[in-house]
Amino acid sequence: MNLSSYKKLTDDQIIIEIQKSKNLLIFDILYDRHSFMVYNKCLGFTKDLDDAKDLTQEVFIKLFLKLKDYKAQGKFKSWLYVFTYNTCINYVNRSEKHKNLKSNIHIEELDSLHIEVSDTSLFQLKVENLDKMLMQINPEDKMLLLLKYQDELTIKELSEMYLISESAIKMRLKRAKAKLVKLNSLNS
Amino acid sequence: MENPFKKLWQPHQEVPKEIKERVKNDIALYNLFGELADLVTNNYGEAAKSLLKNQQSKNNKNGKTK
Repeated sequence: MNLSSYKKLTDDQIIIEIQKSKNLLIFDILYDRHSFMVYNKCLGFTKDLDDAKDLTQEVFIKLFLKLKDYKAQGKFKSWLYVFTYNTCINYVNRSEKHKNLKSNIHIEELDSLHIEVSDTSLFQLKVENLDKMLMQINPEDKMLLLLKYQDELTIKELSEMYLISESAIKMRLKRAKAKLVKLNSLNS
Repeated sequence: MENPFKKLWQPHQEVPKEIKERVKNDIALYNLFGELADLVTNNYGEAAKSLLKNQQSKNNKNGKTK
């Protein structure tokens, strides 16, 4: 099979070919397809061009190493979103430089986290405020909100990715949304 | 109502070209080390096997039994 034929394959088919051959040229196709998304997520997460470059490199090297054990369970793209965010979170947590990206507000201690926040009220937040508030909540909540509202993973997909029940996902989402709205009211 | 999450981190930026090279170099290096490690471990195994085989055939020729 030549390179142009590989380009017609789905992500899962390409991964099977890489598992068989460890062929770097085929891995290039996967890189070309997804590097834009990975890089921009890393950049959004760190707000730093050099860090985004390092993180994108780390994501793809780890991805190559992980592929031998990868088993398609859902969409590869969704799996890669989670993989990218997890790499970003680990990076932020281990980096002294990124202390400012870690949550320093103990929102958990605030009351009202039990309130139900509708998507409509969430969507009323301004983009620039949302970006700032996402940096104030903990990275795990940020990841969950981004997966749900930016990457549009369903509750079922999230439950499969996190290996927890759908109701547990809904509860985590509810709390994360409440934190955002609470922060918004504190900031304004 | 528009979803503000969709507008986050925009406009998106092009991926710097050098990242691909860095990724490819690192993976090539990883593959090389993997192959070298395989070579070394495989050869040790083969060497041990052939040593035992030679020893056994020598013993057989000399009429010794195990």
